[in-house]
Formats: sequence, C-alpha cells, structure tokens
Amino acid sequence: MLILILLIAPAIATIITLIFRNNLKVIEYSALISAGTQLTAALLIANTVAGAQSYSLLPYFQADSLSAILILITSLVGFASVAYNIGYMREELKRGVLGQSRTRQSYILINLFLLAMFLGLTTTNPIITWISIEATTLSTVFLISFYNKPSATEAAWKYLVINSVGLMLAFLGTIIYLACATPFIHSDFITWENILSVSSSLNPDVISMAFIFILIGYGTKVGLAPMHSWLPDAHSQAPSPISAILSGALLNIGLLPILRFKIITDNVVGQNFTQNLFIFFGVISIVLASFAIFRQASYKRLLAYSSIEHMAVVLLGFGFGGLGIYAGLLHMIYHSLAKSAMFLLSGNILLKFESEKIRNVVGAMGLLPKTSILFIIGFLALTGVPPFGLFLSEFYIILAGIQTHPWITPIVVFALALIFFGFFKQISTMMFGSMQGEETRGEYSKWTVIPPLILLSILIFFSLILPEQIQTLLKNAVLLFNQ
Amino acid sequence: MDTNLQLLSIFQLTVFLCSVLMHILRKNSSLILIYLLQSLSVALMLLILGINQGSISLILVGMITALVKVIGAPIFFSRLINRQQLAISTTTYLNTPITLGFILGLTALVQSYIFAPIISLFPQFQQLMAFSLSGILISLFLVINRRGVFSQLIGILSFENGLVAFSTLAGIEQILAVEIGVLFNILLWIVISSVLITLIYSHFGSLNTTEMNKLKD
Repeated sequence: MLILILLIAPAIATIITLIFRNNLKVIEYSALISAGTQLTAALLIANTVAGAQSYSLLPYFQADSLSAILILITSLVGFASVAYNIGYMREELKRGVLGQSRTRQSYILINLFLLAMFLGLTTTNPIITWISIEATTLSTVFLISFYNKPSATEAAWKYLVINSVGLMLAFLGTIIYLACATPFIHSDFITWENILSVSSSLNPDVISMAFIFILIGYGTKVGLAPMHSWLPDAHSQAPSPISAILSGALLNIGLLPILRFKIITDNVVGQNFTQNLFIFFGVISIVLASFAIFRQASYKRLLAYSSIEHMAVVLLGFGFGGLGIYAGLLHMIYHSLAKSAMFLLSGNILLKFESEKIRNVVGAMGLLPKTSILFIIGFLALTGVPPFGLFLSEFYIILAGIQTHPWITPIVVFALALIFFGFFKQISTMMFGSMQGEETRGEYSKWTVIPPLILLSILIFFSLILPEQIQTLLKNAVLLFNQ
Repeated sequence: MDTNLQLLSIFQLTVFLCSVLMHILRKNSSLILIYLLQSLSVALMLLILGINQGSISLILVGMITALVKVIGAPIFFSRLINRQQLAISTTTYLNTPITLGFILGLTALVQSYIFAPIISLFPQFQQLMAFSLSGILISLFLVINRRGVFSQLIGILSFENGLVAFSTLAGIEQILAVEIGVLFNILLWIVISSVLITLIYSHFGSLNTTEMNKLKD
C-alpha cells in the first residue's frame, strides 16, 4: 500500500494540475502535498524495511534495504525541491521571465519525474527499471530546455541523445542477462531475485560482457567519465530546483541497476571483475572532475562537476569493497543532501545576481546573508571538511582503498585536495568582496530559504547522529553485496 | 530450411542492411523510408514468431510496433521535415569510404572471438544474431558519425530496432504490459525528440550539431 502511495500521489497531483490549470495556488499545494505524502510513505517504508528487511507489494514492487535508502533520499530531495520550486517560480513569474502556462508545465513535469523515479526504485523487473529510467530522461528533457534559450535547447538535445544511447546500451546488457537467465527461470515475470537465484548457472564470459554494457549504459546516466559530457550542461541549464533533483536523486537512481547487476555478476565471475571496472571509471571521473572544477566560469557547472566527483567517490567505495561499500552508501546519502541544498541555494544567487557567471557574483554575503552562510556550510560539507558526514564517508573509502589498492588511493586523495582548492577559490570570490550594483539586500521568501536549510540541517544531524533505522538499512544493504 | 527461419533471416538481414544504407543516404526523406522498411521488417519478425509460437502477446506487440513505427513515426517525421523544409541531411565526420571501412570493421568485430560467447548462446540463430549485433553497433556509429540531429534521431531509432530484433531472436518475451511499456516509451521519445528538433531549428537556424556550441567550459 505504501509503495502504491509513492506512485499514485504524483499521478493525482498531475491530474489536479490539469484540471485546475489556471489556479496556481492549487497547483503549487497539490504538488507540495504529493511530495509530502511521498516523504511520509518513504519514511514508513524505510522503518518497515529496517525491521523486516524488505517490503513487497505483489510480486511487481519491492523495497529492500538498498532501495529503501534511495527511496528515502529521493523523497527528501523531492519534497525540498518542490517546496523551493514554489518560491522560485513565483519570483520568476513576478519578473515576467515565465508565464503561468510554463509554470504549470514545470509542476506537471516534476510530478511525472518523481513518479518515474519511484517506479524505478520499487519495481522488481529489470526491464521496467529500464523503462522508468528512460521515462525520467523523457520527463526532464523539457525541464532542461525550460527557459527556451539556445544554450538550454542545446543542453536538452545533448542530454536526450547521450542518455538515450547510454540507455540503449544498458537495454542491450539487460537483454543479454535475460537471455542467459530465462532458460533457468520458470516464470513469466522476471525479477532481480530470480535472476540472482540462477546466477550460478550463467555463462561467465557472457555475463562479463553484459555487465560492461550495463556499466557503460547506466553509467552514462550516472555521469561517469567519459560518458559525462551531458551532465554539466544539463544540470547547469535546468532551473535550480530541477538541478537539485537531477544531482541529488536521479544520479543515485541511475546507479541502482548497476549495483543490482553487480550483485548478480559477482555471483557469476567473482567480485574482482566488477570492482576493477568500478575503480577504473571512478578514477577517470574523479581526476577529470578535479581538473574541470578549476576552470569553471559558472557556479552551476561547478556544482555539476562536483556531482561527477561525488558519484565517482561512491563508485570507488563499491570498487574498493569491504568498508568501502558501507561508506559508498553513506556517501550517497550525504552527497544527495548537500548537493541538492547547494543547487537550491544557487537558485537564490541566480535570482539576485541574474547571472550564472562566477565573475558576476561578488559580495553575496552582503546581499544574501542567509543564503551565503548556508552556501558556505554546503561548500564545506561537499569538500569533505569535518565534522560533516562526507568527510567520514570519504575517509572510510580512502581507508578501504589503502587496504586493497594502495597505489590508486594517492591519486584519489590528490584529486580530492585539488577539488577543495578549486572550490575554495571559486566560492570565496563569490561570497566576499565589495557589493556591486544596486541590488537590494535580503532573501526572496521563506520558500527559497527553508528547504535548503532543512536539507543542510538533516545533513548536520546525520553527520553527528545517524539514526538507528538508517544504520540498520545500511548494514543490511552491505550484506546484499556480500552474499 | 524451415520457411519461418528463412523469413526471419530475410527480415533480420533487411534490418542489418537498412542500418548500413542509412550511412550512405543523405536525404532526410530517404532516411525516413529506410527507417520505415527497417521497422516493417522488425514488426514482421515479431508477427512471424508470434504466429509460429502461438503467442497472442507477440502478435499484438508486432501489430502495435507496425502502427507506431511503420505508420505513425514516418508520417510524423515527413510532416516535420516538410514543415521545416529539411530536405538534406548534413555532413558526416568521416567520408564515405572510411565510413564503409568502419562498418566493415564493426561487422568483423562482432564475428570475432570477442562477441563469440554472446552469439553462441543462440545456436539456431548464430549468424542472424551476429548480423543483429552488427546492426546495433552500426546504428550507434550512425549517431556518432552524423552531424545532423535528424540523422542522430534516426540512428537511435535504428539502434532500438536492432535491439528489438535481437531480443525477439533471443526469445526474450516479457508480459504484455512490459512490452507495451517499452513501445510507449519509444513513442514518447519520437514525439519529444521531434519537438526538440523544431526548437533547435528555431534557435540555431540549422540542424547541424556543430552549430550548437553555446555551452563550453
């Protein structure tokens, strides 16, 4: 029932938006109530799974420890972003940047986007997972091209083409897995569990090839280098609340099928094969992101490259194995909270300074004091400064790396250090210095301050005290990889 | 040779040859015709297998595939290129002889030991699977090699046709709802990419991807 609520709530909100097309307040609050309902359902699901290890709805939908963590993250990020969207879109409407029709479209597409993500998280069938992730691509194309500028349209095309090619490759990998497994499964509806149950009978050479297609295919969606070129464009061109969901939730959802197939593949060919691939792509991605961050002229692109870096760190955690798996999962939680907050705050900066260029943002602390303080907190969190949780997760991953791959770890540490200095250089330029122009001091509305504040507060709380249910979910999720 | 197997062979080869022809033809209208032919071959493969196996869901999927990809998509694309007057597809990164060399290389790659484990999974369709995989890689190469967004669109759809042909021969049959879900996704993809093409043309005055250079680090 709870899983059904996750899926039905955004569908109802979409229908309400279509019916009350001219009543913006109804549209806003229906989206908010839908996201709030999803958050409540997600909390209950996580609590249930923490106690019972899984939660199923018929054979078609299931939440285990791994997906329960992601359901929780997605619902939190989704709720905060929808709440922020209310304030952000109202401000854009007031300035005449957008009309009522465009604003309405944003809510419809956000609701469909959330629906597709939760479907991908809860389905038990690999092909429905693929359909949902493809649906997230389709529902976000027009969110990326939202402002109807040449750069936004270009970003949307790159996003559509590169992700579609990636997902086709992932589909090829999925078909190969199914082709191997189907002769041993006596069921019309194939699930992750029944592929895993027959994994010892699968051909290792074929499964190895299939996993490569899966990793490259879904890895495109995660933004792993060298398939990442769409990510900085798409995440920077989309409206800030959408960028928050793209970075804070969607990247994790792209990683989920890779992890599911990893569990199956490890049973067939052993852990070394997938771990080596994860380390290879993780190192390339983190090194590329570290050098790119130095050269960024746009703060939203800066945050986008930071997303590539953090997903690489997560991948490295799974690649190093052992403690790294626990740390990788932990890192996903902390990164989602911090990154989505940062994108929401970047929206405030964009509204005030009307420019994405770092050189045009000077003295933000004077004009947007609350946003700036939160932005600095987010920067410290993202760059792995203690006592934030990202420091702990990165530390554990590096520790795991030293134990298993001591010659790779210095490269990772160097890249992380480079990222800190690159970020510091850019952020300090933006936050401090003499205010220019005649902008008025002050935030826009509570809608644009409270959501990122909540996300960062949760991040700080989780950094100091990780609730027992989440610890249980993490431990049980790690067990999935050690079968 | 079994009649059904002969027909499957003919249609699979048609899918493969269409993916090769797409590299040679430059006019957008010709690309649409080749895509129509390719989609028809895929739909007929589904129908033949459905009839052979007595599977109502495969027959239904074949019919819906024909409706969406053989009738719907070509009409949609024809209206798009007529409205925008996009007669000629744009240039390629590699010239025709090198392109054909790459196509030969990709076909040879699939026949090599690298893909042998996958192909050997299907003993009764080995050569057909090889052509199917080759068609998939050649379609991917079309997306990479062409500078025109319309060609890239057709390349992705050709890739998808190759995947459907591959999964059909592999005997991957899901419940009807899942198959329809995949088709619905493709239909949405066609609509969305077509709208995006219209937007691209209105912003850039061209469908050449080299004109889209607003975003740089």
